[in-house]
Amino acid sequence: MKNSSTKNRWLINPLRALSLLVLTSSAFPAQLVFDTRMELNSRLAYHLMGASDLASHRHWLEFDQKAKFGEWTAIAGFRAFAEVAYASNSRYNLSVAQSESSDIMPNDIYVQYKNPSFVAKVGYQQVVWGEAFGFYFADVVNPKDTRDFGLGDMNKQRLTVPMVNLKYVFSDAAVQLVYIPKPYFNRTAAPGTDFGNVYSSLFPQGKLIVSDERTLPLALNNGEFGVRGSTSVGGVDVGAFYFNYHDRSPNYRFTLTNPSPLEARLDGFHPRIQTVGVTATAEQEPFLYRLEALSTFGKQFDAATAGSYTSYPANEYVGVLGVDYTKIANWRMGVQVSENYLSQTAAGSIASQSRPLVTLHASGPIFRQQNLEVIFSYAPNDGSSLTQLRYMVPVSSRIELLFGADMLLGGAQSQFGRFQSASRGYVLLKGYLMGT
Amino acid sequence: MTKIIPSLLFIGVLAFSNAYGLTAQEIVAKADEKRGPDGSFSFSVRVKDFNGKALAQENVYKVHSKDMKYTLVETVFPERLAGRKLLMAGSLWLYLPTLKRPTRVGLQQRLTGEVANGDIARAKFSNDYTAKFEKREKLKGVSYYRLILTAKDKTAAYRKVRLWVAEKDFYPLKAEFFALSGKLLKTGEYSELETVMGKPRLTALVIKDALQPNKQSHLKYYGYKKENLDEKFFNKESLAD
Repeated sequence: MKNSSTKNRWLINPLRALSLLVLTSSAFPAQLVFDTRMELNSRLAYHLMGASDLASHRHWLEFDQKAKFGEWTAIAGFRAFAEVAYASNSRYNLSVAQSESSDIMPNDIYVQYKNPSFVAKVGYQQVVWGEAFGFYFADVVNPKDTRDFGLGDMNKQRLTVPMVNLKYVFSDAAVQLVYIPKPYFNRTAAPGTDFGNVYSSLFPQGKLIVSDERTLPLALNNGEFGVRGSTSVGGVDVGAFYFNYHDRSPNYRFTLTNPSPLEARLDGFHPRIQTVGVTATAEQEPFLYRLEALSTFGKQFDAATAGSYTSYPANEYVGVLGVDYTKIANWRMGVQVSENYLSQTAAGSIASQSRPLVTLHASGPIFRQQNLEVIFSYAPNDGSSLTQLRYMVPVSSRIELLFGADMLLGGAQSQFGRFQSASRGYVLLKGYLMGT
Repeated sequence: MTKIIPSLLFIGVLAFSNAYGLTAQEIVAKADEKRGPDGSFSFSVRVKDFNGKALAQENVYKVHSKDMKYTLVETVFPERLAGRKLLMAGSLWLYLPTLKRPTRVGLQQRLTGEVANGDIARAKFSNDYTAKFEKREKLKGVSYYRLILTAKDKTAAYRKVRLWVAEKDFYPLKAEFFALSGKLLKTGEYSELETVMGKPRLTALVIKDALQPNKQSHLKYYGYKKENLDEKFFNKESLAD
């Protein structure tokens, strides 16, 4: 009898709980809404320069689960990939096959409170600043995954990191504060991969071990912070920001570890730097102008001299001007000119003191929903170039097929030419699954 | 004498309109009410593009609008384009999930195919255009005001619109859309009267390419819902999630 009564209590209590839940949920106008999103990509790529062997056979998955209740949103997701080319192509060595053939990373994982005036987001996320096309000039907050050298969708190249992101929105302005308690750095391509570290070629006489830190310990003095404001003045949208952080790209310290056989180490480090910037866009038919100006203070730049490797301090100044032609309704096209200038240089500097870049881009429909995208970037100081072609054919409402090519041309030490052998043509199949 | 008679007739038309106490602009405002409600609301629009009889593409958008001054259009279908947003709030901003930031785009740029952003958003003609009487016209036994609408500024989807509005009940029948050069770009026909937020309104629009009439876009507006939308909702900084 006692057992039966206990059983009944167990039976009744969930029903009571359910009815309470129904009653409470009906008392609130907001409903709990779930949203699932999954993206599957499969890419087959072959080298276009030299031997036309397998460059990439990659499958990747992106998954996000969102739950929304009124002004509250929680999202959890991940991204993962498996790359077959490193294990199946003898061009790549065993350590590359072992370390670079798969990875899993957090995607957006955050809790958000959002009302019309205020947005607070805490957790793994992406914060994007800047107006320029393509390259990361003002997009300084999140580290990047440079293993594919900036080819592909921008949101997939940004690595989500845990941060506190507060934004106050006015009717025609906004102020944003970000705080990153634990810094994370760019995921650079491993030596031996197509876009791998080429510094080992600077030390041909011996074995060079390259190691890079990916993060710093959680400590108050390692924290990063920034503020950004934006508004519109007479049809010109302007923004200004300040970010105090650690350089996302590594500098290296050289240590001779063994004189015979000759062995040395390059240990990456990430100095604290500060960037201030302004961005603006304005339209004067038929042109749309984009402007970015940035100054980064406290940067270090690497220099390779005979048998050694050092760093020197310099400030970096960046100016970007882009002009889009807007008269062709369904097409986006434009030209962008940028200049990275270092306040000083040193003998053997890896980076040039002046790095101008001219980029032409156009994208739009060719036939029905088929879309063509062409990007051509040219570095006038070393004559190297990057040409990217993408032709998208929709297969269904959920699937699209892309045919593409990335051509990197130029001298062996030039900005793009150093990766010339990585030029590839590819086929990419994208699938999207969604549910609520 | 031959010149005086049409002039007198035209004055007669104006006198007639004054008899109703309505200017051309007020007639356009009344026609706007027959197309969409006032205030803050959301709705969905299904756009089917036909090439002859073949369906070339289909898109579904969710639209949020405040006083027809601010509009946010989000792609819902096809799934591969879901999450794209176009914000019209003075300037035009495009949010692509693959970029994760709003990018300012030209006012004449579009979210899809041949349909202008204003067609999707159901922009109010009376807000964007200055109207003038052109003539009265009888079509299939019904009397219409034929009005010519000139864009107030470059944010309007078209430079000029010719609009036929029924004299009796102010329902718009059809429209012709012109480019800056005066070239006829498209024609539109309104239909499908349904009750939307308490009033009967036209919920379908067929747009035909002026040069290739077999190229058509069929727009169906549905799922109207009153919303409490703040101006801040339409700030570009609110676009990401």
